[in-house]
Amino acid sequence: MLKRRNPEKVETERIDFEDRIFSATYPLECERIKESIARIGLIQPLIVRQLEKTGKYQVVCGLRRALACRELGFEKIEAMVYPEAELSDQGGFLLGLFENLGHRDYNDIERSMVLSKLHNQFGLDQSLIIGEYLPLLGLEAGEAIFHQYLPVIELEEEIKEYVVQRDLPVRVPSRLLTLSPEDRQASFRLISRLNLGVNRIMEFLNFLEETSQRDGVPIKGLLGDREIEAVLDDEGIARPRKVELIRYILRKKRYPQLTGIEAQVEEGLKQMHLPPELKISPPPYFEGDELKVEFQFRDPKKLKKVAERLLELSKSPEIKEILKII
Amino acid sequence: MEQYRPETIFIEKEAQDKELTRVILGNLPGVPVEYIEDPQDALGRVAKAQDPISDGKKLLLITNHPGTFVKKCPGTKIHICCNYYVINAATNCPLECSYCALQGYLENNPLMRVFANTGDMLNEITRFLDANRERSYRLGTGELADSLVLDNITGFTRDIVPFFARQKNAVLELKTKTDLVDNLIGLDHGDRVIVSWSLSPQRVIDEDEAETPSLARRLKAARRCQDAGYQLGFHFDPIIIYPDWEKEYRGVVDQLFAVVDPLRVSWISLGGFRYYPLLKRIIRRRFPRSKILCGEFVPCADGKLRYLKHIRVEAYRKLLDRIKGFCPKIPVYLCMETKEVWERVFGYTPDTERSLDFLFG
Repeated sequence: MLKRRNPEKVETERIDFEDRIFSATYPLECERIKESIARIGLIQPLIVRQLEKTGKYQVVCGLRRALACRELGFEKIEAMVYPEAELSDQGGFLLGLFENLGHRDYNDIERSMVLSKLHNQFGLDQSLIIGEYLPLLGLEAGEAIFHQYLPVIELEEEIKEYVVQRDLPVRVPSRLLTLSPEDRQASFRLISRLNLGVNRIMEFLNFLEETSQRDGVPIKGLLGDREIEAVLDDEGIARPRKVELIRYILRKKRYPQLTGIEAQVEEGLKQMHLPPELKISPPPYFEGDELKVEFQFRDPKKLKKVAERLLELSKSPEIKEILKII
Repeated sequence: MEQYRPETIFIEKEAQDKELTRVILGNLPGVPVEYIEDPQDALGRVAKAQDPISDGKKLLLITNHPGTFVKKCPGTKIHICCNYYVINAATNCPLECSYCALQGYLENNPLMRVFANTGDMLNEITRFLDANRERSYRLGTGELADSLVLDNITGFTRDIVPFFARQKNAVLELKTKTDLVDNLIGLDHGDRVIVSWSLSPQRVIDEDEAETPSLARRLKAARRCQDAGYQLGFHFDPIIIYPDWEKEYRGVVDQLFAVVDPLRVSWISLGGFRYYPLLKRIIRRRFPRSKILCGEFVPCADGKLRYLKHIRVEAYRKLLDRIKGFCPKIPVYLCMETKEVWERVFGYTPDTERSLDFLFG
């Protein structure tokens, strides 16, 4: 157990704000803390380590508070100071980790950062991290989970920020990591421009990856399609409609035969000029060879009209054509 | 092909005195052995691994089968059933086919398992066949495992083949992708054993059937079995659709009949690649380079995804034409397909479950 130190005032300019060895905080945005400190001052002192050679301080706990104090113009900040000889790199990191775990949850980027530091920086054994630290981070203790989270920290800054800001589940960044950097950037631009929800993100990535793999065309190339760009750039189209249109284009690329048959059937049905109270639909995904007829009526006269129309349809070439198509 | 060699053999207490256990240990000298009380002890080794499916295949568990060995092939009400029964003598397979459904079925139980209570199994089959003597049955061991992939270490066929040779109302199908047929040659099979191969174009074998022998080796093994008097079966299942599929599958049919006598072929099945949605995640993770998921798959009534009906029907028709070109009388059937697809491919629909029996009579 580390001995508790009495807080002392350290000079702000002697704190090395660029040294992030102990930090697992993402993003380092400190606006709200700044507001709080500006109103009530710094209630909880920082924990810092003083380096022997330079005398500079490294922030062990409270980097966001330290940044806020600096921005507020504090010349000195209250901190508990540990000499380098008393606090190892790993010890300091774990101190910060446990201190944070006591009062907040880590987001997925931070979880990845913690795992990465424990594994790559401090060389902790993988099985120890899986067995002890994954549960501490609120994750299931398993190798697959470890390997899912570990590389997330390598993502580009803008993607990490977006993931935190939108609170996207780890399967999204994890999936983006399977793409080449160029394809990832192109996919991310689409995701963020359309502000897609999780299910749509996964669906779009499926369409894109499978089409790309099948046709040997990078995702970046697929998304460079003029039709897609035209939709994205059209300021007259509302965002939900843009999502629909782009989904239509991507699905058509991914399922050319299915969408081709759907279009033929739709065209055939259009040719029939059905009244609104009568609806004919093909079987889902064309699994089956029967058309479904639905109709509505509110008096016998209307029913007779529908029945007559159905009789006419039974002899029409259009219905035969649709049956042939499905 | 290289013989399967586990990293560790786990032997459950009740199985340690069985003959099959002795045979396996004799055939795998030098492999570490652990005796365990509970299969969970072995499962625990892989349960939390990054890829339990791969790691599980490296561990061989010898155990007793606690339940029934013989089960009806898991068809569905909406598909034409071919009245097949499966014998589960082992579960899991080391052949690493990207599309293998076992990856999903056995995800939580991914060890290689061999059941050592062979005597119980043979007794159960006898009771099963005796209960309905006037009916003919087709049974096979290739549902939850490849029928021959472990045969060099278990010697299982030396028991099961002569056993079926004595049966009057059943045939046994040994379904494989391997060329491990040495044990079969010279056995008394009584014309009651059909050795069958799953066939794919060499491109599919190279890309999606990682640890399996080439097409040529499979066909050579088939020829050896034919020469040893066995009837043969072939399964174009799963059929994979890709730009050159038609030419390459036609080539497989041509190669097949250049090697085997069509009159020695008991049946050929056709089945397009189909999968439960769960398998997609597994294939994507374990075989990220495979293009097998890039086809036009649609959800079907049984919850599986299949190629769009129009694509399946075209593939079946073309393969059927090619096969029938060599021998119009070979029984060809579709695996797990609807009446409607049968109708479109064959021009008729078997109207009852039993109507497929005529094919295999």
